[in-house]
Amino acid sequence: MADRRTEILVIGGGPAGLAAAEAASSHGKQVTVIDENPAFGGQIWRAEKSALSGKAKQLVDVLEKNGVEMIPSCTCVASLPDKRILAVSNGKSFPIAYDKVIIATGARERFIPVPGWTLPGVFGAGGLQALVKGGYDIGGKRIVVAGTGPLLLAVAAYLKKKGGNVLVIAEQASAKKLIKLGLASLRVPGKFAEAMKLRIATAGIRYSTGSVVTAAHGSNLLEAVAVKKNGRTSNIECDLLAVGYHLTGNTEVALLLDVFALEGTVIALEGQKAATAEDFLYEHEDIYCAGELAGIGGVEKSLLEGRRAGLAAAGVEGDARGFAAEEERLGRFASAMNRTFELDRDTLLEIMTDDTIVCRCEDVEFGKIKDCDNFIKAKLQTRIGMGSCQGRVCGSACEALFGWGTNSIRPPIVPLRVSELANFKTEKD
Amino acid sequence: MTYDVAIIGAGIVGAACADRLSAEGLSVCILDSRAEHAPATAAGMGHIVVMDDSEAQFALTSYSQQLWNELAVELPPEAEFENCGTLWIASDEEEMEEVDRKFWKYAEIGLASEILDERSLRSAEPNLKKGLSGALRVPGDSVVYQPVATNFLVNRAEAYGASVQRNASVSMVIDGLVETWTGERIEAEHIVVAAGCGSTLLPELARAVRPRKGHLVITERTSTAVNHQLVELGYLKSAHGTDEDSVAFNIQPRKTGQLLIGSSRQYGSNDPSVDFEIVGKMMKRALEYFPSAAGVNATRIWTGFRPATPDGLPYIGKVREYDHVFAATGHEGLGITTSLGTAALIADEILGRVSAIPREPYSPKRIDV
Ligand SMILES: Cc1cc2nc3c(=O)[nH]c(=O)nc-3n(C[C@H](O)[C@H](O)[C@H](O)COP(=O)(O)OP(=O)(O)OC[C@H]3O[C@@H](n4cnc5c(N)ncnc54)[C@H](O)[C@@H]3O)c2cc1C
Ligand SMILES: Cc1cc2nc3c(=O)[nH]c(=O)nc-3n(C[C@H](O)[C@H](O)[C@H](O)COP(=O)(O)OP(=O)(O)OC[C@H]3O[C@@H](n4cnc5c(N)ncnc54)[C@H](O)[C@@H]3O)c2cc1C
Repeated sequence: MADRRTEILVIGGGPAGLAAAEAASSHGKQVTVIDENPAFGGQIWRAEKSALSGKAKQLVDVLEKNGVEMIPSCTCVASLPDKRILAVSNGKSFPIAYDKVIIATGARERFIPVPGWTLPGVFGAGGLQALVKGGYDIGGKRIVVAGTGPLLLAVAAYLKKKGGNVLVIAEQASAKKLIKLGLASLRVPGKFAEAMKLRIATAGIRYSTGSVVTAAHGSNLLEAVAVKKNGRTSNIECDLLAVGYHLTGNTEVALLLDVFALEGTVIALEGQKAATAEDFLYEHEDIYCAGELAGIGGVEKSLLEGRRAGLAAAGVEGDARGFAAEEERLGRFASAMNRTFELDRDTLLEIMTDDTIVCRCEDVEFGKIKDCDNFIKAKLQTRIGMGSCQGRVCGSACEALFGWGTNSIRPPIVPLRVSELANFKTEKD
Repeated sequence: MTYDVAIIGAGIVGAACADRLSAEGLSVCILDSRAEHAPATAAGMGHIVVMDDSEAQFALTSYSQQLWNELAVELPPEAEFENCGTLWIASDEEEMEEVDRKFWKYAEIGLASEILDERSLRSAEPNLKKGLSGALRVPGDSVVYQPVATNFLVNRAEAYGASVQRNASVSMVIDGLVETWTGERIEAEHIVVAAGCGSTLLPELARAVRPRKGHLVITERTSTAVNHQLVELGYLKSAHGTDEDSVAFNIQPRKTGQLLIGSSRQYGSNDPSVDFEIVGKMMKRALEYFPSAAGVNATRIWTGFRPATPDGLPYIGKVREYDHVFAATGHEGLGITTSLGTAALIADEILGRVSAIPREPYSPKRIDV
């Protein structure tokens, strides 16, 4: 069988990937989009009831009209020589050959362990939201939402809407920083409206700034969380803790393709922030990165970067350059936001105890890794990050706690059955 | 200061030498170009195995196995030393003859082994394919998680007084002196080159030591039981001994319940990326022997480079053209096993003692220049 082949391969069908596919296919290019999720739309548009609406539907309609090949439930797991990736869909693996590739794999929530987090009842904030979307009933449950980042507001609003009793949002960032960000968002009208809407939706929920969860308590189940503010710790009794520390880019595919990444963001080799399109092309011919993995910045930024990458990949240079002002404005907001929700390493380290589990796959405790000099050493000596999740959780936690880079990845980036590896075939066979 | 010994390389071979020499009371300095993670050692499989492709290999591996058993009691639990034994699997009558030959060979030096027929093989390893002819069980073989063992040896050497210098990349070696790329000079009476594939820094070794690429696949934790390290005897008939690319079935049970599946051998590539065609062949081979692995998830694949020599034996001992420069390299696919024997031979040579096994077969003087 001949390899699948496409002119432009888009990996990830969130706002960035869909916008890229639209731009490229509208200029006559043959485009294939894959997404590991059964539904396209990414973190924000992946609909609760399967039907896409609004902007998402509009984009997908254009893609259909343009004859874009869309492969859902299809994960890029490895890179192969000669501009090919290894994709897996429903347990079957196959290579896809491309002329140009656009990586738009988005971001995930960053999770930082606290003592007691392995108790049932503790969830990642986005994780709990996804569970509820999937039908998990939280009616009447007392919930603490904690961590940092704008996602907390969105999650709290959603949980409240679904009948949860959200007691408090414990936000690590200080009130001062948040006010500054509020001012920055005034320059991005869409953002400001969005923030206000959420604030209104969460009205009645206490938003406690400068507050950090220091422990989860309970014997077999979560019973209470300790929250520290201004040096004072109070215990809040609750049933669920939804905790998330802003976002970190899904850089795995980029790393597979030898794109350099740091602190959850792909960057060009000379050290500047990932430029989508041309700047990036300079170092990595035929590879473009767009959306959240090239810097957390929300849906407008992802759409814009996606479009830009799509145009550049289609070779429509003139068009691709028309975005500078918009990009600058969104970029400014993104950096202001990321500064606001930056983690305070000392605060986090203070919370950790030697027996706090950092890596759940391999049961590695904080005390075992704290004296290691870097992630590779910790990995080899304690197996941290060597479990099934390949360090997706503990890797970014270690990055936040110790500043360790985790700039390496081993294929396959998601587990693959031995029989599938044995079936590997390529054109040459 | 002038050290008694400078060791270049903190992989398992350098680590074992440092441990041994500093335990003997010598002042030792270890230099390694990396901050962490010796490349061959980090990539290897940790099977401590007696092999008899040649008399010299047999002597060094069986001696080393004995030394590992002595060390085992001192290793921390994280080193996951497990005396699980090896099964050499025969798939036909011809390979059964090889089982027989090995049995008598091992008996000659008093090394215990046991011949399993088809039925006893099935009860020893129920998940192997039906219809295999039998196996040789070598109960004295073990597995170890070598990154922790290596770290243990380095730390113990330090405790004896050795100095460890990381990020020190050696550019040049002459009698009495080691120089790094940053111009630092370390004086030492004896110099041991244990730099794995990097041992080519010594011009005498430059053409003799070649990297031989290998792939390994690790699975998630599984309930599919493997009780021994399983190795096919068919590798004798395959191209494993030659220059061609080859794969052979080799599976290692980890204490964590994971399976480590090998292995491949390729010359001529210095590209560390995973070659899925070779991995495909490896997995096909593995499933021929161990079909129950089919549904198990592989979580990671990686490659490593073994420091190989033309005749398959390591270089241990004084290098021609020098008075006090020694090689401890070229261990190819057996360096985890033979690291301890190598360290003992190096210590004996430096201290002018007779060794437990003859040193001559490993002498780098056999290199054609
Ligand atoms: C948990 C979570 C919840 C969020 N909730 C909100 C919210 O309520 N409101 C809001 O404004 N913003 C929210 N965001 C932010 C949101 O992600 C961005 O605003 C926007 O969706 C980013 O678009 P993107 O295309 O860059 O990435 P994404 O939307 O993340 O899309 C990336 C896509 O790539 C796919 N993918 C990843 N890896 C692979 C692979 N190896 N192979 C194939 N496909 C792959 C993923 O399945 C995903 O569909 C949330 C983010 C997260 C992480
Ligand atoms: C896939 C695979 C499976 C294997 N399985 C087994 C097995 O089951 N059993 C077994 O016994 N063996 C096995 N081996 C073989 C074993 O891993 C190697 O033989 C052994 O690790 C070699 O150790 P070393 O210390 O010589 O080399 P390395 O571990 O490579 O260490 C050499 C060190 O020297 C340093 N160095 C290099 N150049 C310089 C320089 N110029 N200056 C300073 N420092 C330098 C390097 O940084 C490195 O740290 C396997 C190998 C592979 C690749």
